[in-house]
Amino acid sequence: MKNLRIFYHSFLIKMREILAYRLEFLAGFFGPIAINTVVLTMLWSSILKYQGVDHINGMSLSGFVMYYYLVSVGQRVLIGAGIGYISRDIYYGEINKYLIYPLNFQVFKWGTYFAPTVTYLLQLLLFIVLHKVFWGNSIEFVDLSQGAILLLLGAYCYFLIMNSIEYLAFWFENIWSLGVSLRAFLEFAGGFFIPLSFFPDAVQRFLNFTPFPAMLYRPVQIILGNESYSFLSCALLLLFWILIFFCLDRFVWKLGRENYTGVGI
Amino acid sequence: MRYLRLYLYFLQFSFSKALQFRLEFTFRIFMDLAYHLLNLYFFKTIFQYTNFIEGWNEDQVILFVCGFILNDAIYMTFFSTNCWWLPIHINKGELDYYLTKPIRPLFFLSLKDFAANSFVNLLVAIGLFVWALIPLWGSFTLLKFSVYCLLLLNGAVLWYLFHLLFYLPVFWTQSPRGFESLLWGFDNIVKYPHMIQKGFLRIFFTYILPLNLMISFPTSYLLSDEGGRYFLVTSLGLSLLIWSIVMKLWSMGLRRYSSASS
Repeated sequence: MKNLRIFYHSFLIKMREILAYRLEFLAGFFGPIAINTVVLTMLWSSILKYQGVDHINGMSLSGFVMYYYLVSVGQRVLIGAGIGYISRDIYYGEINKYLIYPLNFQVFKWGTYFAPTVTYLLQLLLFIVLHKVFWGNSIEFVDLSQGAILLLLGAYCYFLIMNSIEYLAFWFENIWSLGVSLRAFLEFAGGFFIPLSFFPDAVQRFLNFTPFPAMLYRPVQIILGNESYSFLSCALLLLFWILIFFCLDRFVWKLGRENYTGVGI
Repeated sequence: MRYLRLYLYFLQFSFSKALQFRLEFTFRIFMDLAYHLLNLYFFKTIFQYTNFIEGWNEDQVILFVCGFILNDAIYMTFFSTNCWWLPIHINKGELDYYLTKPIRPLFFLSLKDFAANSFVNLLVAIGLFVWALIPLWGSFTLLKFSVYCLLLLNGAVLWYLFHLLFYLPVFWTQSPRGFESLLWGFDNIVKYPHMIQKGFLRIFFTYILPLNLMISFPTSYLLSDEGGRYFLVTSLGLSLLIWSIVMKLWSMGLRRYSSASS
């Protein structure tokens, strides 16, 4: 109960911070998603036109539009508060307060990480519903809900992986590049640039050994109603990865705290 | 001459700082390499489904991608760390330190940190660029190639100017990072040949927010048999315009700046 209260308050604080600079928030909230969707769709449109076909690998132009919108917004749901949300506290010694206050550090940070995740998830749900009402699309409410749940699980999984990288700031001066690399792998292996079915079989098989397809590509396929992917198997797979990264998160956190020397106490 | 000497000192400090943290040094090398390889693999995958992208074959597109990688490596090496700190300095009122020095503050703020670890990637990027040039070598004159290299360099400086354009509003909005997240979205415009853009979008990204000038125009200039003059004149003219707009914005921002400490 206490953890829930901490989570709620940290979530609210972060929401206020996000909404404090509205113009920047709106530009960043819609801009990159729209640009990514439009540019990649234009690329495939040009290829479809050159080849003189309506479909490539089973995907039509409207399929590409919806796919790229979903992976673009899905990626934003996953990356939440971005990079540096723990490492900055470690560098500036601000982590001292979390160590001496009676609160669960991970719960507090999950609250702040979760706020941007929720804003993008709302954008996704709202867009799909409005799109269905005004233009009509074949996305079912059940698929949308299942995809949203999987994206939330994926966001928590990504948060745990990112935490383990952020804690490396206990030892290293700069971990920003590792965070960017993780994001690059998520984008590659999550189908952000190219649907995974376009990759050769060997690459697809290899990527399935990583958690990233289950975090982004499969939830998007489930929203799109692709019956090759089941909600249950994807959820179980994500829970398996969450368990692994949860243990890693606690292990690195414990090691880091033992290594930490707080300045100014 | 004085500025050149100063820049050499910046280099010296940056290298000694970077080598103090050797493992971190490798993190960034790893990041940039992964980024470059994923970009190349993306286009290699695309070419399993087509032979041309808007008239460019695989070799030509790979040259375009390696131009992008080179451009990114130049930006990352010379400007990225400085650009990262700029909105923070403005926001926290830390510009005083730079404004009171007897050199141009924008020079100091833009070039003080040379990313020594990204320099390693710049060498890799040059290697990739040469590799991409080999299959096309002989299809253009040496003069055209030299102008192309200058236009690519101009593209890297333009990318820095675009960063300033999106960070400088911090003088007015006092937000932590300006319009940075929007700028990261524009990265995707630069990554693909401008010919895929249609109608208003192409006009917008050529004349209003001319991201097409960075890599796509130089590559089009090199690969086109005719019409090269259009790409050259547009690139140089609009680059000068962007430069003057950013300088104007910078001086307006400085007038607006209220220090937090003095």
